[in-house]
Amino acid sequence: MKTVKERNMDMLADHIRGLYRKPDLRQLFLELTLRCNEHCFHCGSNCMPQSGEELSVDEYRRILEEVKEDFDLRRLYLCITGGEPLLRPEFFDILGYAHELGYRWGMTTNATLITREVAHRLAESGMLTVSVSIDGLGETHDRLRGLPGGYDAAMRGIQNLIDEKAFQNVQVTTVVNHENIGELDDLFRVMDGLDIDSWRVINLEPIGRALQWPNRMLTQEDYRRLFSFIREKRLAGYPVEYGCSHYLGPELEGELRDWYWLCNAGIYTASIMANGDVGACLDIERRPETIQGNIREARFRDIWENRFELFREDLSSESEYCRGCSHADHCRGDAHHSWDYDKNEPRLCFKGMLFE
Amino acid sequence: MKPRKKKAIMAGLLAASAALMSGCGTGPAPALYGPPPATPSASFEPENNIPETVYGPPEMLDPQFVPEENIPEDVYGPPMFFESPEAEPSSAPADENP
Repeated sequence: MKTVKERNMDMLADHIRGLYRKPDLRQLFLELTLRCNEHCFHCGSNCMPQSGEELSVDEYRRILEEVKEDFDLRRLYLCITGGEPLLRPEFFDILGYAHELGYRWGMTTNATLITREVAHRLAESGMLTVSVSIDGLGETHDRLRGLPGGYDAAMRGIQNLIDEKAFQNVQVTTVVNHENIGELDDLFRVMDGLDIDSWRVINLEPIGRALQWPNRMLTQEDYRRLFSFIREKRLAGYPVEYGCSHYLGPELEGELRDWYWLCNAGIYTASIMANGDVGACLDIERRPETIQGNIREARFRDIWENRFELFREDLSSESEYCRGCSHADHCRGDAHHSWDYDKNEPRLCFKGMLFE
Repeated sequence: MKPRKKKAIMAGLLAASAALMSGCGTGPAPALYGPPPATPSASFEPENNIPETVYGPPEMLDPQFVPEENIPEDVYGPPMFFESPEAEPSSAPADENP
């Protein structure tokens, strides 16, 4: 007899098959720039000090106008990211215009540039939610993110955001790796001392620059420790959550976050990259088959409606690795961002690590 | 941190698990991560199961969202996407309800 969880996940699987046929854009990411003032070892974007070919302000204005014409903004959330988005000189021009058009939007940032004045301007520009990266206590954070003084600057930025009292969700995100997992308890005390709305704790992903640091990947023991930590804090009533990263198996699904596993990419989520390329989730490896078009050559709606085939079927369906797996209906091959498109298998699979 | 607010697909589940952890309950032996889950919502709505990524609670993506009603105090009201614990069934399958 199936458990309620299993039945729910069965229903979700049916629903996702429907979304493959009729996707529902709910989150549109805009990567404003690939420039960054930090140099995180785990960056999935492989951000560069400088990058050319960025979309112009006029192009962003056109995109925002077209998306407003083509989609229902009441169902759509604009997600601003980078690089460090605040390094884009025209940041407030672009987001001010988005606000004027009626977009709801949030941002991922390292917060090092968020002074009181910037926090106020963000509020005036309609920002609703913000997620700030803190990857360890001071010295660890600075080392992992490659910016001396970055921790102190980020903590000041977070406080400025909180003090503005204008945002619906001020979140901190921590990427946990084999080096900083020992700081989780101390970090929790730091987070608990901040008036933030949530703390999102995720694992280091085998993507981007992190592929060069295999020794920093979490071990099986680390994963169990991490997930037990999140679960324990949630049971105690703290707003700690695991990200949308991976399928966790029948025991942990539904316990570390407020939804059952699914990968948003290409069914709920699309992204417009700094150079105009259109893809699904920005953490997905950028290669010809994952890029669905370019906003300079086609209208976004046309790309969304007529491309994205790669993301609208289960990854597990053609994977030798997943063949015969009893979890394939609920996992579907796990996440696109950690899929190895060369080997056609997941780079990270918790089967055997967290569940059988 | 502020207290964990609503947006709990499994608020009842977590509360029940916490109760089990505190000793009030006689279920199967605790699994790897503690006591087994209790009562996930039986009237699950898959169309509302939308991962929130990093950008905020899923209710902000509510298809019924009305900007005029988007008052900060209401943001963390009763779940709009996920069933409230009160709505959960009084009994659960034997394999999940100790």
